[in-house]
Amino acid sequence: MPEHLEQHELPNGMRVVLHEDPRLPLAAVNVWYHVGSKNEETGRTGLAHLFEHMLFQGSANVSENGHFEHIQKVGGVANGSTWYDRTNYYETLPANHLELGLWLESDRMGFLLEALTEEKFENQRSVVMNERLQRVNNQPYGLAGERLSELLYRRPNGARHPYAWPVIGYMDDLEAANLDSVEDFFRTWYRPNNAVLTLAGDIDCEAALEQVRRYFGEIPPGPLPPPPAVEPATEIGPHGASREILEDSIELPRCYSAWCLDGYGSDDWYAGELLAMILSSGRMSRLHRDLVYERQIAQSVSAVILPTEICATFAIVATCQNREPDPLTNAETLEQATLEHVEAIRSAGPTAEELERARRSLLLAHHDSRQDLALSADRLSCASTYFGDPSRIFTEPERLLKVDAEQVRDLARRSLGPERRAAIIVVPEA
Amino acid sequence: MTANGQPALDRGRPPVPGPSRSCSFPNFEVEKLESGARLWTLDVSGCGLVTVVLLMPGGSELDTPDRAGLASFTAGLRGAGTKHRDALEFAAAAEDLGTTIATSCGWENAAIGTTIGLEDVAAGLELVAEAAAEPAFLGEEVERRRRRRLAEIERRRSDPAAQARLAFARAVYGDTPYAHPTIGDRNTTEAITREDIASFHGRALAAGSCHLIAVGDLGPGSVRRAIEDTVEPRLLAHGRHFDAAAESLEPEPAPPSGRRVVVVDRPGAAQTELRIGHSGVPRRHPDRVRLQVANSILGGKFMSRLNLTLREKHGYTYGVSSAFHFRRGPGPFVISTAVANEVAGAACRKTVEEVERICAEPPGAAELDDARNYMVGVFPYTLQTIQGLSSRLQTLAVFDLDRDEYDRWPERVRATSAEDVLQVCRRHLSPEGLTITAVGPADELLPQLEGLGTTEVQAAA
Repeated sequence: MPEHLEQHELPNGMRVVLHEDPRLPLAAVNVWYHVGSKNEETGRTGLAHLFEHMLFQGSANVSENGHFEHIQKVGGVANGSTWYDRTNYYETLPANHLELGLWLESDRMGFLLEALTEEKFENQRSVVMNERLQRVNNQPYGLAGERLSELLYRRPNGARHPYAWPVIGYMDDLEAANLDSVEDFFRTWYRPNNAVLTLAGDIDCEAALEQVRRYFGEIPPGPLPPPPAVEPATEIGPHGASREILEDSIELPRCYSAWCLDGYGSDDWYAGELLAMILSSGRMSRLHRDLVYERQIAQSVSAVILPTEICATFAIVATCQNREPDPLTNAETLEQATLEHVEAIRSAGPTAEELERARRSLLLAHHDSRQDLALSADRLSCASTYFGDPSRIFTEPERLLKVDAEQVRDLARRSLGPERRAAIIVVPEA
Repeated sequence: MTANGQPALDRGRPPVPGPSRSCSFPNFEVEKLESGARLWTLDVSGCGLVTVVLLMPGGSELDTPDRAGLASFTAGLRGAGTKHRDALEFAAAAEDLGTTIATSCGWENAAIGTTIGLEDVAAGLELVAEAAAEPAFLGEEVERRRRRRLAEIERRRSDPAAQARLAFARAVYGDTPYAHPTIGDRNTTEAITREDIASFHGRALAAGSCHLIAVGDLGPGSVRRAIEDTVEPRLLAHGRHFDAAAESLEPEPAPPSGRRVVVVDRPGAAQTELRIGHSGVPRRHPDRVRLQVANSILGGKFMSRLNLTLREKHGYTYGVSSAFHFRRGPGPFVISTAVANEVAGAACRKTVEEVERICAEPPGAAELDDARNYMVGVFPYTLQTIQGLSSRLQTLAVFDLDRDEYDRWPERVRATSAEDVLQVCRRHLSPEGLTITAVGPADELLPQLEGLGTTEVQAAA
């Protein structure tokens, strides 16, 4: 694949990543702000995400809805998303409209506040409350993931780790949010020195950098608050009651287990990613083969590790194939069965064959994912934001290939013990 | 001018674009193999991967009412063991190559496919060919699959979006094939026998109606050779043609006699899922592109009338979209959204008003221009990946479209006038024929929906 990658830093601290990939006449514009729900305060959860919505409501020179209008009328697509550690904004445009993306992104980075109004805020608060209803409250099992994080990340003194609350925020906090807090959030976090801008596609790096300087160079940097204070990841684990049974409007009982590992980029994280695959990716994976195929007690099972910065949630979710004769018994049987597999990894590690399968699958997926321009741009912004080095996306497979069976076993032994587990069982409402 | 010779930056207006670079659909080849199957090849050299899909007859449009779900039941079992390897051996053979063999079933066709590294193409094709031509359908695997399908049918009972799709299709399509979910229901899933499956597969395995679509790093002749070594020998004995039109039921629903409201009661639900629409037009209908332009204006993009009204103006929803689902027969036209319970009635009324408006007056010049530019502009996005390109070729194959379909598409979009939009909306949209399906708490919904149409309340299926 033809490629040319550069990274620059403007005098105001904004990092610029440029990646030439001229296969199609398209240009991806991707901005990461290094702020997410972890930077919120208790009682004001959901603010980072609500704020993301406000960034699509116009700025000094862009009318309400003008952002989407300008982009869609030239044949572009745009969106944004909020995560624990970051908020991203992105558009893919016909390559000759690259400058339009720079104009729009710089206008909302530098000149947002004068366009904010109470009316726009009320409208987007309502949209976001509906988003929460749709994704959480009216979703089968919707509240379970939220409760699992609360259990995993609560602290003995009642304080909460910044990953304890959901990115979308609690309904009460959304109701209490106000325009002032949105403005504060912007002034604090939406600074060029807290942003990475990636341009990828059919671009001329030199000309593109010059345009970036014109549009973003004059936006002033500002002081950034220190990262949220948290205990080291090794101290994180459930304290007190770590397992709860929830009732929900569902048919098939389900069990969740979660542990906390070192954050994205660490050796443990890569070992965790391989372990997640060994446990649940493909029909030959341990959990799928035993619980879905052979014993037929699970309808589905998945193990995942989240790519979060401070530390990372490793979770196993398994759904029962039957609710009869007794939903709770079925869920607990399935839960025990998943834990036995975790224990087997802790004592003996994965086999060489399992490790090889997981590696090959990850390599193929890595290769496959590089075809999509917007996805590549997002991963470049990610690597630049977290590690200061966008080229790390090309060396990520090597980090995965380095992981051996002993590392996976060692990780499981240290981090996936019963004393560090948080768990939720979901059963149908009585 | 600034010191460096650049004009001073004027933030007050959007920048002027540079010259555009055109983008056309890449070259591809179609040839008839000895077995009668069509081989479609599109070379994307240097990407290191190949994606292969074998399309065969046997889509869900062939399901009969007493065996609803048979097509997808059969399709799923093609990857669950063959004459040469049991289910686990088959899975392991693919996973050892870092991939999986994906079996799927749409309304028109079944498919078996994989994306695989260049060096493993022959091994991947071997597995695809085995699954297509030599599935074992062991009784034990049939039962295993049956239990999972029954559990999935159970799971959907508590999924409001799935309930909404189900109730909408049933209400709009009555006794015709599109009324049933492709998975079938509990009774039909229990009734389907191993013999039904084997016999359905036997009918569908007709090489003369199969398409093998290979996109990626094909290399000079190497993938072609691998196909001749793996797929062809297995297809040669099945060189028949399958006439879907003759075998499938006529999927034409009776026209609605007036607007209808179907409420699926979910007491205590936190939100209401809405599906509003009616039967649409077949994929090969001459009005199709004009309808896509009309739909883009109505609900096909973020800046559509429906989204601007329901989301950006009123804050009723996180999002709303409309679509024509083009199938061999008249697939549905459907508007989909989820709204707060207390505004469900208002959201339905605004939606009906927008359908009425697009049937009453032509769109404005700027609105039409934006929609056409959007549609033409986003076209290259689907050409970025070998899977995206493959999907485009699959559409040509399934619906027997002209091979210059994608070359002519932009000009067809650009040629669509405001009057065209109005005319196709009048022909194919019917505000009075809409079926409004609402899944939520009936006690809250019924008073709000009063007067919108003939109303019936159902329990969750």
